[in-house]
Amino acid sequence: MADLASAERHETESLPPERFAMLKRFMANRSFVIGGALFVLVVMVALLADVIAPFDPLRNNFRYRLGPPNAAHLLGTDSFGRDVLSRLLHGSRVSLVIGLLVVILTGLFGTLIGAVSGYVRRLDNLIMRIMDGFMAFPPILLAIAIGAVLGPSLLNAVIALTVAYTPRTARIVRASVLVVRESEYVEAARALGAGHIRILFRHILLNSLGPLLVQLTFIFALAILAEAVLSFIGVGPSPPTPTFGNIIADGRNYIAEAPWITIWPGIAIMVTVLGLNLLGDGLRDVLDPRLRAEAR
Amino acid sequence: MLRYLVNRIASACLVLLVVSLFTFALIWLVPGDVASQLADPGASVEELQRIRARLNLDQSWHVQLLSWYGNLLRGDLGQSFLLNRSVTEAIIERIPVTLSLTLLALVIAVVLGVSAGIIAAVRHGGWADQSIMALALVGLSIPDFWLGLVGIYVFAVALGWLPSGGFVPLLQDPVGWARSMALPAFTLGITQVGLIARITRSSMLDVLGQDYVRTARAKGVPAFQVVAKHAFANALIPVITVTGVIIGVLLGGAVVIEQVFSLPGVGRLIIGAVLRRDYPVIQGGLLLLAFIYVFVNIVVDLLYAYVDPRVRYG
Repeated sequence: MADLASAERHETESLPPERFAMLKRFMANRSFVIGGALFVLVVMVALLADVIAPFDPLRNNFRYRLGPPNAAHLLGTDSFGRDVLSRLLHGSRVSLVIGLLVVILTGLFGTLIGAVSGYVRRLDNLIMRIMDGFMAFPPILLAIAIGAVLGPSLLNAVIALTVAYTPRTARIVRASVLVVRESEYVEAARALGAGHIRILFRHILLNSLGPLLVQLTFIFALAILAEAVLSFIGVGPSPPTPTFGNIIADGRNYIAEAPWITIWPGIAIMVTVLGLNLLGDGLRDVLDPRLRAEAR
Repeated sequence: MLRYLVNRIASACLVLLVVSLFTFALIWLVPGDVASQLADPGASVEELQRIRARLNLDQSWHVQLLSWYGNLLRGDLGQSFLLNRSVTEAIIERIPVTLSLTLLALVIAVVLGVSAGIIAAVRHGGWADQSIMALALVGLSIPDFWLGLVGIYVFAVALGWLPSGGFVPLLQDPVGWARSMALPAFTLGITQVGLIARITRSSMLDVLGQDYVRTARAKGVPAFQVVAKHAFANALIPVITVTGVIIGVLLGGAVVIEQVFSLPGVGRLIIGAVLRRDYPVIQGGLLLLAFIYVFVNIVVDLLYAYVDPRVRYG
């Protein structure tokens, strides 16, 4: 006990007080902690897929087709006799990679478009109307259409989802740029002779990071759900590469004889997305106190 | 109000312009030669030329664009390759299924979501609140098409209560229609309950903390009436806004749910077209659903302006 207390005191001294307060607020937030733990778990599983998967996810075994769960195949086997658990572990990789790429690209393009729109008044109206146009498509439908014309592949799924979710990100960035732009410290920076680029990146964007980060966490969750849909209808990465969505698509045909093929990947998606949603809620509570009042 | 309406419609027209331009350009995103993808592998040069002519791809881009808009204004979305008929016809035939599915799902989502949100707000901090909010979050994390498959497994395969798919027209057999729509509509609606519940709850909490609610309570208005009359009417505004967004999500979700339950709607038409590269149908379906979404959002905005006078004068 005494050791703990002194360790804590020591930590307080070594960290700058502000950063420590932030960390404490994160750790005190239940959503953040649970969501973070779930998400870290999923990422670990994906990283260690090669080590923990009991079988090769692509190896057929026609002697044990549609096999119910047993000691060797904990979650059963699919129509080719492939181990569902191993396919799930490897599939989580593909789904997470797609999610991550979509988050990075959406963050980049969304920030660029949103910043220009919020900072350059003359372009604002034009850019935002174009974004509105893209937001008039239900995002999943837009992604399906783009995925359909580009052809099924991992990269094309990423492109399709990036196009579908960038307008939302751009809108969030623009909104916070509009607020920060009018603040006194930006005026001060301008008075001191800072150039537009410097003001935009150093002063405005850096201070708009909070809402962006929250939004990107939710986009990660949406992208994983949407990727599953794309793979399910056949415009995602093509089989035999396992993804959450195409495992379900495969299981669908055997739902009566072998429901385990369908059920487990859905639960895997749910856990991943729930983790991200909780993480996003937690981040929002801590980073955006304005919204916290609303979300009581 | 009139000025607000005109402004709103003008900006919607702009949005529709972007939407139709993008849909037009979609076919240019196809990598490689469109015609040789659509034709049989051993197709002759004349055959390829015929396909290009049919898609107008043998014209220069501005001729293509003009004829696209010309046809659009006449309600002509081109010819489907596989169905051998006009895209407009094929869509009109299937739109009632999609719209009724979306509408049913919306009703389910709003009724369940708003009630759950109100209960959570009134019992703020209690176990009811906490479990509703936890469920709402889980609901937001479930893939809808998967929930549909689980529903088929439980209610059609294991229990045998409902059909696993297929569609019965309402006028032909109302009971059969209700049975065929029950699972799809619930599946689609339930995934949005969480979002509506969360918005309703936070909006109710906001309103319940206001002075006029305290005044109403102080002067002896019964608790139920305070919630139902004073608070709810004002808490409704954010719920209406989010309903506009949710209709978009539901329209997108309907596309996939129709596929899961084999319902003959526009979504199934689009996905069938996606798998067989029937581009005019993809373009037409995409355009139509976006148009519906834009239209619905105008209605939502007007409703919003009607409920909240600050919007129309602001």
